[in-house]
Amino acid sequence: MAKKENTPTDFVFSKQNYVLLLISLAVIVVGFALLSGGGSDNPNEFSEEIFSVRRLYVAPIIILGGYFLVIYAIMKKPNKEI
Amino acid sequence: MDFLEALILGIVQGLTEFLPVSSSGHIELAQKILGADDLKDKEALLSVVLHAATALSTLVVFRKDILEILQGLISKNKKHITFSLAIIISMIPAAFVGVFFDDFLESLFEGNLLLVGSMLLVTCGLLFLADTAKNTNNEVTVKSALIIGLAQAIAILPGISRSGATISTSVLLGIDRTKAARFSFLMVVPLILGKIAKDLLDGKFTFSSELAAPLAIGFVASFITGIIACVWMIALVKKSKLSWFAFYCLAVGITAILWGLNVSA
Repeated sequence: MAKKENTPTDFVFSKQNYVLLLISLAVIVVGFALLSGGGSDNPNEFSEEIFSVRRLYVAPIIILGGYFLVIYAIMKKPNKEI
Repeated sequence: MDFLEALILGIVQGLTEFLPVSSSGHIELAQKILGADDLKDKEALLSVVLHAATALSTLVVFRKDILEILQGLISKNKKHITFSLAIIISMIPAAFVGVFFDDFLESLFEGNLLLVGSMLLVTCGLLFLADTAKNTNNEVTVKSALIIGLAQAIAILPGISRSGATISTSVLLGIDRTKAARFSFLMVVPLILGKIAKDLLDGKFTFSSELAAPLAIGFVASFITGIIACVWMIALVKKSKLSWFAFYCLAVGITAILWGLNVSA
């Protein structure tokens, strides 16, 4: 008998995957929150805040970290239940 | 950006990432129709979020395959090492064109309906050819991966569908239809994730709280429609039903060309 191939629709997650997904989404939200701000109330005034370390480096790295955590959450094999 | 706009763009991204109708060609046409020349720049952050969503939907659909490949790499399984090598090689042409010629191609095609329409006709031809291909039993090899990679690089041109070009090339090379679709969708994931990382680390995005809800809606819409479109596309490729999209590309392509001729007259 031919070996059964993986069907594309066969992607059941365990509780652990969902918990990890929620954590990673929270990390992404924190990253986006850190990306905000930096604008000036007065359009004729330059705000140094737009080039802050928080916006330029910290926020993008946290967002990327969140995305990698999502990938881990999707790929993590559920623990086998006895 | 409002909720409805984000929802529609999310659905469009989810569908066009997988269905062979050229998302970039449709964006060029939409810009011309709506008169919004800055559509791409204005939606840059949304575009990153939507592309992330479709990349993740690919991972969900092919989760088992990817896990199998990773396990195969650890256990030094020859078949999985060859497949991974094929994925890496297939990325090289598109990465090269993307890094060195992206701006040039964008300026060449921007607002040029004649060229976009002509490329849609090329997509149409490729899809018709794909449905006629026979003897599709082969595996993806390193050599065929390079040729499929070249097809992916050419598909950077607006109007040529990436999935259409890579799947058609694969089946014309005699690769099994299901494997061709799987390879086409997996080969682009590292490129998308790399592009997202580059865009984010360039530090060119700003975010405000009013963008949060539209971005979340766009993400969810793109993720769900991405999963549906990916599964649907695999079934269509398997049943040789790509000509449905060929007729669509033919109609849109001819309309774009006639419109382009009218504008230039």
